[in-house]
Amino acid sequence: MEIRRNSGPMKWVFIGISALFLTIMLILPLIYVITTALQDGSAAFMKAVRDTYAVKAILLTVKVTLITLIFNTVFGVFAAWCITRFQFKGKKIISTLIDLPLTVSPVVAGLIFLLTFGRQSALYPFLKSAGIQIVFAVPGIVLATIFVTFPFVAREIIPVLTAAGSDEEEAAALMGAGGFRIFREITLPRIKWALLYGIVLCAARAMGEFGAVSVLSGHLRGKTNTMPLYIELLYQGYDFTGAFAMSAILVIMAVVILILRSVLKNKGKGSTENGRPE
Amino acid sequence: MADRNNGYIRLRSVNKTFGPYKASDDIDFEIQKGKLTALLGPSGSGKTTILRIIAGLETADSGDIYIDDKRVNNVEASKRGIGFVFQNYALFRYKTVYQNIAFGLKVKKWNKTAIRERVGALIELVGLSGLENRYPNQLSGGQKQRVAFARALAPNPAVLLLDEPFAAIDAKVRQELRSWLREMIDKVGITSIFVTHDQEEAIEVADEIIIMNKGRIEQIGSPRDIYSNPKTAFAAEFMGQPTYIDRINKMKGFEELPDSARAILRPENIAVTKLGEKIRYASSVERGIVERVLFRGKEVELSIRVNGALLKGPRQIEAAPVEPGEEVNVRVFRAYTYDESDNKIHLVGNANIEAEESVVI
Amino acid sequence: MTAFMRKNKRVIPGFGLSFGVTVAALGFIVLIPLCSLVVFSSGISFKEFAAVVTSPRVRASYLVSFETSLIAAVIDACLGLILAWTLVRYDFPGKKIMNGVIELPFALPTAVAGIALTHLTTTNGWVGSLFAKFGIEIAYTRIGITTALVFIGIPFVVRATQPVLAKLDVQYEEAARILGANGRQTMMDVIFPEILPALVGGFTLSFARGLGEYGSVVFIAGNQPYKTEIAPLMIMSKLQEYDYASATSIALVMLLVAFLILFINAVLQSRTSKIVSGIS
Repeated sequence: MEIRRNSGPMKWVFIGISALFLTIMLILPLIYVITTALQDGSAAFMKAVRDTYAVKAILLTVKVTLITLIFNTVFGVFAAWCITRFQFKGKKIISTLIDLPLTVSPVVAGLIFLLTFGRQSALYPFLKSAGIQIVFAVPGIVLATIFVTFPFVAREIIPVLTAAGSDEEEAAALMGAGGFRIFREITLPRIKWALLYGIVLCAARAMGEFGAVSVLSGHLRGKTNTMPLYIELLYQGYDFTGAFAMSAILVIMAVVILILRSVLKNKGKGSTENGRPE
Repeated sequence: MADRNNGYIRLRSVNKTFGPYKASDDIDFEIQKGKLTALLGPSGSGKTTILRIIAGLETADSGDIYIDDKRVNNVEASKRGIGFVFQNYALFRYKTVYQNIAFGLKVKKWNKTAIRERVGALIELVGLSGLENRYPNQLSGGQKQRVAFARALAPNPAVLLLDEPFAAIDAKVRQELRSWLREMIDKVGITSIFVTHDQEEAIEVADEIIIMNKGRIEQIGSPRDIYSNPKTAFAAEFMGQPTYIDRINKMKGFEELPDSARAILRPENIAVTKLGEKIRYASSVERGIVERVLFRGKEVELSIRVNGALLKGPRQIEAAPVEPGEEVNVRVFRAYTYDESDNKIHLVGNANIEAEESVVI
Repeated sequence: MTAFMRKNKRVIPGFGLSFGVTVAALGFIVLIPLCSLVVFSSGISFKEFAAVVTSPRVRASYLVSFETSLIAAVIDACLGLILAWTLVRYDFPGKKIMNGVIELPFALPTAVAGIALTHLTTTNGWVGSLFAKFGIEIAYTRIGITTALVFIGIPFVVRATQPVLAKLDVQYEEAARILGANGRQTMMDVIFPEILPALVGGFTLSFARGLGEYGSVVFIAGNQPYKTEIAPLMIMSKLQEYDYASATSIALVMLLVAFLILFINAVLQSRTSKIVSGIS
């Protein structure tokens, strides 16, 4: 698509609207968070961030995110491989199921795990006797986060693999190469950047998930509060500096993620935005 | 030669550069009204650029473009009265055949009845009756091209431009479409220019050919002119199936030429006969060894080593077969020679043959 | 794992493993929990379900969610299209930044977005104070909810339409131009039909997402019953009362609506792709 060089007044109107909208809607909140976090001075900021509960919240968020990332990446790769390299009945169903978490409200997502592992479920007696606590504990948070970010990695790499076709892998297989070798030497280089971006997206969402986790967490300070939940806690306690200080950390992470995205996009035609697994 | 200022479409000293690449280098030509002209050349020769400049899709850096005596440099593409057929048809995917053809008329605010009449007539003209309500994806390549043609003609343009109209079409269908196009354009009587890289196509379809290379015009003339009397080495090489001879004066009948003379030979100017067969012009016969025999369906192509050079000569299917390794008699009737230092082609006849001929009077 | 395994006729290895992992993960993470929802809801009598779902407060929350999401999605569709167009067609300083910022709602945690937007739009906030001069309140009103939802949904529309615009063959426009069409006619007749499917897809995603959104909305909404209470919040409050039955009922309705929207979208998309490529 050529870039219009002969531009009328419409060009600047559009650019103006876009710039205005983006500034007010997106950039302003970022700035606000950072300024408010620092409004009581950087000493207060550091204190808020170093608070034991804050640190625990950060650690929990990191832990949950890492577990989620590993699980979803592994799943995403296997699922993409399965869907794009083979023909079988029920592909559409699997596709739809993979996409499903995207359409479900986070609160509903939390709810269904509550029903599955909570007190009134069939599984509860077994869990109780085994001493496993899922609901209102860290495992529940992990499960909810995995659910909500489930399709992210798969959705990024499936379009790339579909567009590329399976010719190369077939050629390698005919020459006798084993599955892992094919994946490592042929498929992986191709999906490298899309995979990375999917992981980045997954991480972003995992760190920020609020609704689903809120349902399952039990809100125990220091035990089952992730960063977003902790921020809510502070906010409702009118500790705005504290809440915005924690938020600032997440904002910085978000900006880092956006920068990473641009870099990854340039590196390899990144993701085909909004790719549908089909 | 037609009056220089008589041309319906005229280009004067047109130049266009894209970055480091000079697409059009001092282009100058005119096209008569009602004629079908081919812009012929290899990829990158600048032929499509010229077409697009005439259409108004590109602006020339310098030079003038006239259509019907009006200077159109500053006239918008939508107002030049031109019909354009794109290489990949560019049919609107979300419109039916009818709507596609009607588009130009809707834009000009024709009333519904007039549109229906005109589109109906065009659909019949191009032979697509019954397909009015199909969408482009339901048509074959040939059908799509005909829709594109009808769509371009609908608003009655003064000029029709076609950008490699058959490039995206199957080989077999291409032949039919070529004759069909020629017929249509004759029927409608519209001044047309089409761009192609296929010299066979240009020869078959066009009234006049403009050969382009590296942004410049190599030669302008009728198909026969350009084929038989190429003026530059490029023109001679581009048409037909050339063989190159480094030192033409090694051949019998061409000894008078200087050492620096090179030549281009065409298969139709060479005759190959088996050793026993009767021939005329014996004094100009060369001996050669057949290296390869290639079956080409309608004829046999022989690769023969003569005096160190590899020539290609034809042999009829019905004639007695020739084997690789066989010694044969070769006569070269004509050669297109040029000197290393300049580009100009001279058509030189075999001196011995000409001498013999003159005796026969 | 060579191609000579007679077990399956597939050339590329790994089907068994990948299929197994996929199905296992899907089953554990997606299917089983969803099934428990179904199992649990079957334990709720229809009368109970109907009573909850049609109670005035719950009905009001559906309306709030639906209305605000719809308006936000429409705004997103318009603005998103303008944004995508600007990014694809024009060159200007700061374009790279603009391109990068678009995905911020994906990268920023919803709760953070929520509290930031709330503070900005209260009557004392940087933005809210400007609007207060005209008597318009944003935070703690439906306008506030809509604003937050516009924030959330914008990347869906841009992400959906940008690649389609970028890949649009310039020849269509040239053809229209030579046939005499001006900019506006080309836009309406040629370009718009090409991007409409993507636009509808983006709109749908934005709408569906908005319906279920919690984190970014719950702070700015003010959560006044009947006025600014969103459906997800209703579910939350029922859960906090340990009234699982009601929570599930409300959730079921929400799920159904979401599925309905996606289904309609899928139908529309396959219709258009049929026209374009003849595949149903």
